[in-house]
Amino acid sequence: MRQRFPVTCVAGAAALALLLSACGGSAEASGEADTDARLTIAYPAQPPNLDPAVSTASATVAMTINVWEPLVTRDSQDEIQPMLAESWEISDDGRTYTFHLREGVLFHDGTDMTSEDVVASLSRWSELSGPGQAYFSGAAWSAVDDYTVQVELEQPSFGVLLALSGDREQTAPIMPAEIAEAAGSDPVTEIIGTGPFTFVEWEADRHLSLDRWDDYQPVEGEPDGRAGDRTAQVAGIDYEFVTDGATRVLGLQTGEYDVAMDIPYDNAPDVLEDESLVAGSYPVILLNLYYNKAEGMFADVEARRAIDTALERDSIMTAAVGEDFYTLTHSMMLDTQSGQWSSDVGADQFNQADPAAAEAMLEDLGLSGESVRIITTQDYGESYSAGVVIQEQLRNIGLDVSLDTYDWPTFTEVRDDPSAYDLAVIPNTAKDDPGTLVFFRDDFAGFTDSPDELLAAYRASATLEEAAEHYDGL
Amino acid sequence: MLTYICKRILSLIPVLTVVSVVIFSIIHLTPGNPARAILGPEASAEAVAALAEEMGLNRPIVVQYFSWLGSVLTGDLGYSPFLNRPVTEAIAGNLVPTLQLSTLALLVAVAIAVPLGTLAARYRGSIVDSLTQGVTLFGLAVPSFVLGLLLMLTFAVNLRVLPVAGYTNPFTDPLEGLRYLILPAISLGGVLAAFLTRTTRAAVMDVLMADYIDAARSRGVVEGRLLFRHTLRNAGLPILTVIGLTFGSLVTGSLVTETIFNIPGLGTLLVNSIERRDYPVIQGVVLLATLLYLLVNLVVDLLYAVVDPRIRYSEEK
Repeated sequence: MRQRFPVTCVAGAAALALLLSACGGSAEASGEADTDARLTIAYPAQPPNLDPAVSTASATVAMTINVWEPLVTRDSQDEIQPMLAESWEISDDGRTYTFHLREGVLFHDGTDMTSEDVVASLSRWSELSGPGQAYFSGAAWSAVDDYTVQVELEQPSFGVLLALSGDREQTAPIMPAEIAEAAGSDPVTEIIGTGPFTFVEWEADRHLSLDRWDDYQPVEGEPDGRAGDRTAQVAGIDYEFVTDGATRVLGLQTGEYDVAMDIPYDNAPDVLEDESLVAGSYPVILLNLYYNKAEGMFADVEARRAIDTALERDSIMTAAVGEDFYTLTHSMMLDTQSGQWSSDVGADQFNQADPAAAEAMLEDLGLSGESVRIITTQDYGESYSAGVVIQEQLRNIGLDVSLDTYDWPTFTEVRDDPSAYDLAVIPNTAKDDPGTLVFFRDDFAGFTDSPDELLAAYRASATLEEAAEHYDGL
Repeated sequence: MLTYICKRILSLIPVLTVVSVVIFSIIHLTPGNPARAILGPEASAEAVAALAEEMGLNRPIVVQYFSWLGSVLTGDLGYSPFLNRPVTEAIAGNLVPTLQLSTLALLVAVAIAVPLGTLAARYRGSIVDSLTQGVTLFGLAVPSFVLGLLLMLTFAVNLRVLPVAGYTNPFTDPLEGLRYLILPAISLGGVLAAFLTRTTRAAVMDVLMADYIDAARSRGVVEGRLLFRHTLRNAGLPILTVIGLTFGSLVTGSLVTETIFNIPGLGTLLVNSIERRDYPVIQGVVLLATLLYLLVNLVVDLLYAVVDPRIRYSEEK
């Protein structure tokens, strides 16, 4: 892993979620929320569509997670908890999962949610989504009775419930059977779920509105993470699409928005020092340096080791996001996921920051003074800033380094071209499951020789413990 | 006159054709894949390729151009896969805020520039003139987005008298609509006002030196009437020309202003569409902006005849 992917600078808190006290504060004081109020959220980007089976964009999940619900979900400790399924059994061979659905759950169109809807929704999701393809390839969903659903897997895997309860991207929503069937592989256009909010309208580039669903049937239990009673505490949510970061901050300060997502790092002090605002941050992005392993000098693992030895990550991350908003980890998962996924592999070689040794290594390889092309994008400021510091650090070990900057759509195309660069700085969204990390794919930037056998063995692990053993190998 | 107008309108066709070819080539030759934008940044290469094929993006660019041109000639600007609606509908929805903003910005500019420029010319060398010159220099130097952010900080954040960003249609709620539009209009119109003030000052100064002004003054025409009727009307030609020419800067300026103030106009639509490589929308918006620019300049040319009765658009020699 280390060789393939040495710089795992984890930018904790790529997004600061900020809550205005006008809502939060008064609710705290009186002990009760104003349930007639609507919540206005300034959101930086709009989703390409509202179908998490088709779109991998995180905005898609953000907009729909209160409309659609999965069979199972997670609490604040990342433990699997019931949502639309009240219980489930796993056969001894780990190949058959039986889900018992809650009865009396209504879709927003007033129809009863039954096993037929679950089978149609999850058959489609298994076929189209990344996690679906990873864990449900060849699986058969079937209805045992009106409120019991079964899935037969080709091979057992610990990841089944993890995938079904994912909440970062490509969630597994349950929708009416006729909507799932009519959509096929196209994004669904009718947004009808069982969640605490109903979809009202989405005016492209302007706003997306949700209303409280009065007939919502919550699962029993205290709210905890995504689990428990999710009954809406406000009359509705209005997402305003505000692309300009400064405008989001100013709008938050004047009370035009109740919540602003993704505060630019430069504006963090404005927000943190404003006593009328409550700021929160959570880790979402892994800022990664990709080596082009298909062409050029970094096809050689020793050259990659030299760069790995040279880089001093704290300077890189401080330039990228400021000193308060990152943590460094040698792992390929977030620091907060170390309970599930931890490995000491590579820890001793992480962040050596030894340019002299690196220079000597390059000299031994005959690569001193070699030209290196780094690509990055200014649309994600943290990528660009990190790129500038990496360029400087590599210049200091005698490499001739150029930094090419592109807008995001161009960048996503250039990074697929092995002849276009040597190093790429890419912000990746964090994953729940290491098996779905993009840099394992040979069709993604960096062109890793995909460790298919390891991944297959990992995915076929029956338990999380068994999977964790393969994690070291990955 | 009618022949002239017809001729001018016909001459739009080659210009629009050239613009359409250039725009089509630029956006199709720029890297970036709409299919990738639809499926998300981490979608598999296979899925992206399949969608690109389905969207017809793999056909030769010439075939794509003529298929698009064919539709345009029948009034169909295409369909946006992102907005999930026809381009004409998307443009129609976003055109109104832009026209309102541009008109208001133009009004702001003219309201500031014409009196200020005239006074500066009349009292040349005075403190009024020096101040005007200084302010216009500042106005020309400050980019409209900086002006916008400064206005936002002052009036929305510190004074809290106007909203930070957003849009309400002034036709449905005039007062609220104006509250949202006034800051962007000033920030957009400010730069134009600076330019226009300088043009007005120069033009008025030119006319003031003409003999007939002296003649009028000796006939006892009062100063105000002299300035605003005799002088300004004759200085109108260069001012009109500049207004027409700077309309283009209003369109380009609205790209930035609308983004900062979060106004759902053509500028925002264009910027977002470029980001997601929504080809039909980019082509549609640019084509419309070109058409608007050409039409505004045609109207300005026709207004010359109104301002200066000596100008006749006819076939007579």
